Amino acid sequence: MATLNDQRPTDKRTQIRPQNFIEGRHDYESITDIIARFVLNPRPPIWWLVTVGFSLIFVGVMFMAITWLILNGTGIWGNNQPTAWAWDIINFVWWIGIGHAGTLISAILLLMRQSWRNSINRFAEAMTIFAVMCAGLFPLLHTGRPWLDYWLFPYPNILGMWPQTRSPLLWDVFAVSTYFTISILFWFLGLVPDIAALRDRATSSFGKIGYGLACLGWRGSAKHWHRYEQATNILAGISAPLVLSVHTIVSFDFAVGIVPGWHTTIFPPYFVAGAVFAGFAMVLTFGLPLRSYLGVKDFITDKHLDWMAKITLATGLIVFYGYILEMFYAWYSGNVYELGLMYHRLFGPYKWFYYALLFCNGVTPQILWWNKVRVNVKMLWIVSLIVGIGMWLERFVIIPMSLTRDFIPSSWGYYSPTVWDWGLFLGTMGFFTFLLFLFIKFLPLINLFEMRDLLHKNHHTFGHDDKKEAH
Amino acid sequence: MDMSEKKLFKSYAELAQTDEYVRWRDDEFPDREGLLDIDRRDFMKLSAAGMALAGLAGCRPLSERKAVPFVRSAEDRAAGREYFYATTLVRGGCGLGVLVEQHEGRPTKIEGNPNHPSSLGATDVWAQAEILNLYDPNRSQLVRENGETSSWDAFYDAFRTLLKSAPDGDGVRLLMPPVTSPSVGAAIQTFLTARPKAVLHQWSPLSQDSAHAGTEKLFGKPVDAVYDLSNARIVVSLDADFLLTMPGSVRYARDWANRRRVRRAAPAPGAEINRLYTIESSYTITGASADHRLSAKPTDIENIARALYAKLTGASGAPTLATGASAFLDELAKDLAANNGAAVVIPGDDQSPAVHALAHAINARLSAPGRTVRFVEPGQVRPESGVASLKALIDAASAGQVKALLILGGNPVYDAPADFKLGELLLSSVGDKEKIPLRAHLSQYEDETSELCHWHLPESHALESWGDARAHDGGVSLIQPLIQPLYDTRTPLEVLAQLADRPALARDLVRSVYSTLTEPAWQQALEAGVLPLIGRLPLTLAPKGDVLSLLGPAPTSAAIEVNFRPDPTLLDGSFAPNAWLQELPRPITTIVWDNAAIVSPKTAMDIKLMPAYGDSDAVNIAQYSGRQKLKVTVGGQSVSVPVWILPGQPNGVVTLYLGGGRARGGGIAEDVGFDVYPVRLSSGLNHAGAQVEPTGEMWEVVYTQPHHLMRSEFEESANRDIVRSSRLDLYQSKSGEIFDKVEHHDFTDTGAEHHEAEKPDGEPDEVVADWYRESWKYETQDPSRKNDANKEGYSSLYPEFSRKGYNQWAMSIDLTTCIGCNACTIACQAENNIPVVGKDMVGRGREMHWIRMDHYFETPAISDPDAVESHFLPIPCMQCEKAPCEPVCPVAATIHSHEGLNQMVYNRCIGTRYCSNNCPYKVRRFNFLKWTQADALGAKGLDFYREGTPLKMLANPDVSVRGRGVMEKCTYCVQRINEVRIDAKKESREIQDGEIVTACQQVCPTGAIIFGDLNNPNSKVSRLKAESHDYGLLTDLNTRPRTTYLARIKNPNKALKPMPTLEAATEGGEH
Repeated sequence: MATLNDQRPTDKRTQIRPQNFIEGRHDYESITDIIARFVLNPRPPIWWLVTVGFSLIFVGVMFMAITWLILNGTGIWGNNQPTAWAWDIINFVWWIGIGHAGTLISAILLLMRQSWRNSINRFAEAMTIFAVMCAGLFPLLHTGRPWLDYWLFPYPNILGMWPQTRSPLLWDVFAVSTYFTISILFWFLGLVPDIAALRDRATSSFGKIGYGLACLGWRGSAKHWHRYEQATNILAGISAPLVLSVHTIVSFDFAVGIVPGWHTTIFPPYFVAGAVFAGFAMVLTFGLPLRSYLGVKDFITDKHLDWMAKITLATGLIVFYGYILEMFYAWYSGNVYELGLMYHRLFGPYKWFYYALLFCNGVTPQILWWNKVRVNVKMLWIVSLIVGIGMWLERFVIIPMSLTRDFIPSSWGYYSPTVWDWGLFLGTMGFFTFLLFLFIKFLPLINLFEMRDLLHKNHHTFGHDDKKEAH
Repeated sequence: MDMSEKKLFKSYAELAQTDEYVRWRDDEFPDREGLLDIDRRDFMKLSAAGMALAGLAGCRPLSERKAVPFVRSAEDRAAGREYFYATTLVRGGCGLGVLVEQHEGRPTKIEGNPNHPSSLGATDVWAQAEILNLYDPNRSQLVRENGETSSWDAFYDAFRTLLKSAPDGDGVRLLMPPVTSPSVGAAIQTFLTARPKAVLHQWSPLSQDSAHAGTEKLFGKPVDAVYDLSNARIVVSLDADFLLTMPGSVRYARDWANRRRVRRAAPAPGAEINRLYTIESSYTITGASADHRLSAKPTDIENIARALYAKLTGASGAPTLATGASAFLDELAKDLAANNGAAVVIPGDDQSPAVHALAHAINARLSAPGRTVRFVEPGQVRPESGVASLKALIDAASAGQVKALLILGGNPVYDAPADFKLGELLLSSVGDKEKIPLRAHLSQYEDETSELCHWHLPESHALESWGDARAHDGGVSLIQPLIQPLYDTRTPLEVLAQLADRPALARDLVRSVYSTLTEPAWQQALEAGVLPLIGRLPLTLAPKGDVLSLLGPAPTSAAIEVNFRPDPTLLDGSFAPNAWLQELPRPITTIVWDNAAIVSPKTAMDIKLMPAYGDSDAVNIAQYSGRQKLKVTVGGQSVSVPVWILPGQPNGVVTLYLGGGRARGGGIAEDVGFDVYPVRLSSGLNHAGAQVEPTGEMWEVVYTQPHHLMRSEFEESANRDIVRSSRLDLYQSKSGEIFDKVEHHDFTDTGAEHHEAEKPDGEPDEVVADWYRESWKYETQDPSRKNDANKEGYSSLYPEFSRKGYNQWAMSIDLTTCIGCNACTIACQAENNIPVVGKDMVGRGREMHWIRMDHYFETPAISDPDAVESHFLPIPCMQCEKAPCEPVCPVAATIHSHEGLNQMVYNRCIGTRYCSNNCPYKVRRFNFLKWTQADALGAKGLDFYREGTPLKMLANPDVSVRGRGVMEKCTYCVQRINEVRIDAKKESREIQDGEIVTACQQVCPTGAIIFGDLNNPNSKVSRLKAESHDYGLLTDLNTRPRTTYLARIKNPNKALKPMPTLEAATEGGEH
């Protein structure tokens, strides 16, 4: 076998410096076997059952929190005057942010021909969808009269009333629903060939029928593949700008407002970077354990971890730069309200949240400069957790902390959450975990055919493995 | 054969009482069919019959003289239209003439009666809250004997049975609050004539006794002093809260404010502006409104009064005072002497008789009588000392001489001096016989006194009653019912007549007192609310000379003195059942649903309540204020009350507010606040020496305005520029800057300052006005102002929307005359169906008031109470021209009207709350829960939806009752605007200036709020906005508020210490 450095790229569309993203010795069959093994195993392992059971409890908590909310009103939460938005919007933005890695990986990296994405895009996309589902719950439920939420959508009605198009909340409606639709289409489209593979391998009649229906009659003909490739590229083209637009528009919820701490032009890029930052952290948080439990370390290699950590570090630096600029502008503007807010952040009653934020998002990611940390699974996992917490704190700093200190001191206030705030937040976490675990049980965690395609390309690049007959 | 032995039966089954029979008998509808057994036709028949019979349920046998709605509408009546009737509300024996708005026979809102001398069209918080009392579901509805439902006849029978042994009324005692009503006075006379041995006792925790005793000392007879502040250039308050709690306060506030309206166009600008000196023992809104304030212990007030008297008259024997106070008095005496004939000294009702005697002696010296004060016969029909009167009753009862005690009104078990032990006396017995065998209590609520009486008699509400009352100046006005009594209740007048065996209709009883009036004159008096020519003529009295020797030795003060004050919203506790008043923020402290022991920062340090970190450590105050209880001991009795540290409170004084901690009296009153009556002894009704110690016991006092610094914490020189104030001399001298604080702005555009300096004197007024504006930092930045760079005066890239041809509503609030009484807040609550949310919810920052009264301290040194100044800032919706709330609503639920109103469409609102976030004034209020429904998650509130609750009648039908999940806010009373517009359109005319009056404007005692049309250059509001001291809040945000303020301009005495500058403005510290 030729060494890596001897090889020159034969295809300009592939990487300039080709790398092998499949470790170990695999052929097409072994790839499918390993990835589909967990799905097709009729007896799920105990860790899966425990996690699903545990998350199901939180799904129950979530439904309880929703029921109580609809019965009584937003007042069961800690929201007040002046903190009209609090955990409801924090959690919305946080979840939406988490949903950003998936699309970035699947669309932008696809368009950039980053073949390393193949082994992580499937579950990152799944996480996107589930995160957007969790995120979507909050704005829909946070309204005072959730049963009238349909007024947010433009639909012909006898009142002749349309939504008010100047409101960023309306832009949110379009941004998030578009994002959700495209993400689901993209994800499902990519699943079709894999579901067909599962159909072929399923032994239970339930599996045969289920996968058979879901794969939409995929036969793997050249025409199918041709159409598939076209559709993927079109959808990737559509979703690439969405990665930028969704969180930009979410940031408008604040940037358009005149509240000190919200009204800044820096928000769109800073939010997008933060979203990718949080998204990659969440992919790592779930990906690292699953990678070892499902035995797919050959496909999600240390190289993947390294690269994901680098993206985390890069976006983290952008976010940290944002924090510094916020402080600088507050000082540079000389604006009494901005200064007051900055003072509030640094010395007010919530100062520890701000310091924690700086630690989580500013300091912690810096250890990713070290190569050893980037490939150390435990360290990486801890960093990803801290970043997840940090990104939640960032929204806390932006939303309630700004609202509790605006223009007129007499209306300043204090915010603290109630048990129902916790209930709904932890509930959505349970809901997310529950959906993710259902997904890994019933659908392949890693893209089967793309891995096989990657293997094929590897053979072109690095030559055939002597012992295996594949081509 | 006796009847009872006869056995009558209809059937053998009945005789045998078989099971089947019993079941048949007990079943309301025997042999009925289930719903499924009934066919459709029968069902329809039964339904129809049910419908027809339902009407009968509403029928009651009519007794004589009912108030009934029109059977056929009168010609000038229209359904849905409101009508106003004149009547009178009585507080502390003093009548306040009101006009009550009535919708389809139910009263919904109370306004002032412009004809009434105590009102002049304005009202106070208590008058506003009376409407809720009327419909309060907790009001007493039944006669009860020992807790069991009974009847009026049963009570009268019980009383007559008792009188059989003593028809002359021996052993019968009446206990009433001081009687001022002429007809009740007449009824008492009738009763005492019929039962000559019966005795009347009078007691009220808040009384005029000191005033009467003081004037008796000075003039030889008790009289009432009536002040005419419209003639006063110098007003001195000797512990008199004449702007809020004193009888006649509404009128006094108006007269006082009328001489404080600083206007450029006034004939001689500022010449007529009055000056208020307040010397007080608790921080009140009168003190907060003063130009100069001197704080002192309650006992020291008398010494100060003696010293002032001595300084003015040269009399000897005055006590020596501290240097500061002495210097203050020197200047005050000079100022008073210079304004002979235009000055007045007002003594407080809580002060000693000596202070009253001294004050009126000073008034006599200043030629005040006949000009700024006049003396009239007391309004009280039989003036007597409440303590002495109650003591006589106690002594008689202890001696077993009282057979029947009839308590008509009041709540003496709760509010009598603690050392009288009235409660124990009522329950005491000799052997197995009770000392007072018949005790009856007439009151609107089943309260502490009712509990200890055999009989509880429900009292009618003022709006259900016939009666009369004297105004603070002695003028008489009539009380007429607005509605048939909701329950079987009686007024004291009716009960007295019945007890005297002269039963009559209440109307006839009142009418007979005014028998000299012809029927047309009577009708006219009813319509106007005020009786003509029955005011009191001023008396000419000669004061005794050498008052100081008359008064005896000066009092000595204690290290810590406790000062009992009527609660600024609950008064003596009689208003405690009122949820609106409980939730109304107390002026200055903004405490709700509680009362606190008020101490100054220095005292708090002295008594080890908070550590002495620093002289003006605001943070410290915020940390220890309203957090723990203070044990106050007076004469061996003690109470624990949460402590509130208030800058401006005199050092060494603990102010305790009466009226909290009611044990009984309806769900709202109970267990709210703390009862301080246990330490209020007969020897120290108003103030007493006390020991205090922090208990360490925690208690969370809830308040609506948190304590924060108004300046930037980051850059101390940067002010948020929210309240603006200045001095009259600066305003008048056109060459100087009127707002001294501007000088200190580091980052004010220096170019503008040079520009100002170059301006020569003697420019025309218009130019001067603009120039003043330019000197204000944010005005120069207001992009809507035309200047060289912005010739069109546009505030955005888009051209202005033309508002030509429409009325443009706007409001101007004069901070010079705003006294922070909160009447606007509660008037708005009554007008706009604003819910009550309870202590817990206010604690979470969810109060719903549409107009709030912000309060800011300004002081260079928090620990010096005399250096503290207060600023009030009422904040309704600003109705911004470029409202930040509007573009962010995703469903267009808040929109701009062509008349410039920022409107809220409740039906369209889905409750995203984005508008509230984006409102820089935070005036929007969100219905987080179902506030108007039962038990909003445990809060004390008002349940408008309970089956059969009288509260259903309370709501103003012109305003919707909002459900949960909906944002709401001040509308500029759009319902009132629309009503006037409809009238104007019908008459094909323009809306006249002043025709539309918002609820807050109407109630305002000082007339500080003006509403009108900006498109009319001659409207009051347009003219006020052209004043040079007009400013908008946060105009640098380009919101262009329609509500603007006239900066507060004070009129200090130059010879005295100047006002603290705003740079040191602080609001008590930060959290």
